[in-house]
Amino acid sequence: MATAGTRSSSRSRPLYVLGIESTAHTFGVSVVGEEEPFILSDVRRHYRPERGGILPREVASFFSRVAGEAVGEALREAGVGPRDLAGVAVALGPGMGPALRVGATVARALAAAYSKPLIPVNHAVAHIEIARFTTGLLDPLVVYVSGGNTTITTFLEGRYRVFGETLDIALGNLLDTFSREVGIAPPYVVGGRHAVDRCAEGGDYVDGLLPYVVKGQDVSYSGLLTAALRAARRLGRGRLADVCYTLREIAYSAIVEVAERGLAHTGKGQLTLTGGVAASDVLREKLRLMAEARGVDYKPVPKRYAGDNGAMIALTGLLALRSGAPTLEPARAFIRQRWRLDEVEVPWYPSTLG
Amino acid sequence: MVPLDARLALESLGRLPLLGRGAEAEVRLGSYAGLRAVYKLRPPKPYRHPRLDLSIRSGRTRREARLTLRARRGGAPAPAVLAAYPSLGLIVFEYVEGTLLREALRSSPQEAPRLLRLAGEVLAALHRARVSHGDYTTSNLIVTPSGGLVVIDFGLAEPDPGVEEMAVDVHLFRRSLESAHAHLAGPGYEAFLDGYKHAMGGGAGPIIRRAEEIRLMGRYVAERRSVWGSTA
Repeated sequence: MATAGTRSSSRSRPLYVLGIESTAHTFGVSVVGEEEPFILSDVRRHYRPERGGILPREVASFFSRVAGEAVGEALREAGVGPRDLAGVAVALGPGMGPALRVGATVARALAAAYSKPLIPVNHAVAHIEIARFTTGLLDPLVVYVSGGNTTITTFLEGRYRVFGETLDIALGNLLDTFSREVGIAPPYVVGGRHAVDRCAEGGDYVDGLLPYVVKGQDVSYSGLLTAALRAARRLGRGRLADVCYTLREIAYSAIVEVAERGLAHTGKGQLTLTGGVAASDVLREKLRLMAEARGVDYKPVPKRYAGDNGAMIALTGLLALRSGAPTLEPARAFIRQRWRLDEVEVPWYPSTLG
Repeated sequence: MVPLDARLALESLGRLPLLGRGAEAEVRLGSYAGLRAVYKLRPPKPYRHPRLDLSIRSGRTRREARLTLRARRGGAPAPAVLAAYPSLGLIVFEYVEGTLLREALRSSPQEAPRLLRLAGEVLAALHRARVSHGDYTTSNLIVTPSGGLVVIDFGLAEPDPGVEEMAVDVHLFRRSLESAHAHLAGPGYEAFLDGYKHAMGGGAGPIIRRAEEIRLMGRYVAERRSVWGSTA
């Protein structure tokens, strides 16, 4: 089999892939090419609820409204016509059904209209690939934390293996739900800072207030959420900063501890952080302190690529295409709401673009 | 127990040969009351709030000493505890000779079926002693020169576990096979379960069923909606 490198160098023109992200609240479209600057466009449309959480059907109707213009903008910005594409990549899961269907429908239409291969991409794999690409850490242990995921993973024998994860709710979900219930969100994120971070300012750690639960290589956050809500009610508004501070300290310390266990267990010498919660300065700093004490090379994903985006989907699609991973007939591109990270073969590993 | 001056202990500890450094502890070889001994120290973690850090380290040290002792008295193969100093995060064990199961599975693959079955039997012995381990992986079992297994590291153990805690042990062991010995995950896990069921008797059924359920939890669930990610 020809390697990706020899294949691309034997062609006169670089490959371009358009990627579509629509698993949760972001509709993202991006064009990525094999040559610098690689990410040629990165268009994002965010659904933001005015109050409460996210309703999948509302997200889907928002996505349907913005999809056409987002695709057009991504191609225009990249200066690439749809006929120049080598393929159309789309995140088919995991995520919310109604939201996923919009991205899948757009991808199917594009691929069918221009006779391009449709490249199925797992959203979690894409968060890992954008971290490997942007940090240059090619073989890291990965801490992947977002609204729906809390996973410690690393590559072994052909796939990203799940080394540790949450036993119940995700880290982002814990912080969102808490802030919504105590009335400090939405808006959840302002100026790149989450409501819990803003609330924790001026607070201090309170001994014995909240439970710290690590089970082996896993964390558990549902008991912590319940206890934090109860503490917030009991202590009242005046001490909400202490509850926020303590909640954040315990939630982040637990994920850093299981990451350290992952490093010890797998022997990997590199560490990265990715996913929406990777934008948190406090979490980034805690992991840095841990990595420094262990003598491990650590680089978190740039904040710009922490949250969901189309570039990570296009990047992963391009890597998959170059490695000869299977593509789909557009009509067979079905969404997979619970598509597990460790079901995906990663034949391009450890290479990336550049 | 022999009294120990705190500062003296920690200072002299650093001079002992390092046997290993895990995620949370350093393990050194020394002697204690004339016996070969292992000194296990949980040093402070710079990323945690100092008060949270102290409560985690002292709590786990106390717990580990108590539950190692309980497992051993209940007939499970656990090392003898010679001394424990929770406020220092220090615990002293008898020395157990051997290699980690994680290494043994790599260096002697032909031994894997027997060792994994035995790992199942050892977990059953722990559970019958009314202790759940909390971190039951191939890194926490030592293969002795006579081919037996000794279970170590009770820092996350629980007394009087229910089905849930015992199921987590089964689940954790399965995942440690998947993440560090992927080629063994299928048949290896079967051998482990055989040993566990055999030694556990009738009580094993609900625990294994629950372990299967736990495996399906904690994965991405569509209902987990969140706004994280819209921060860029």
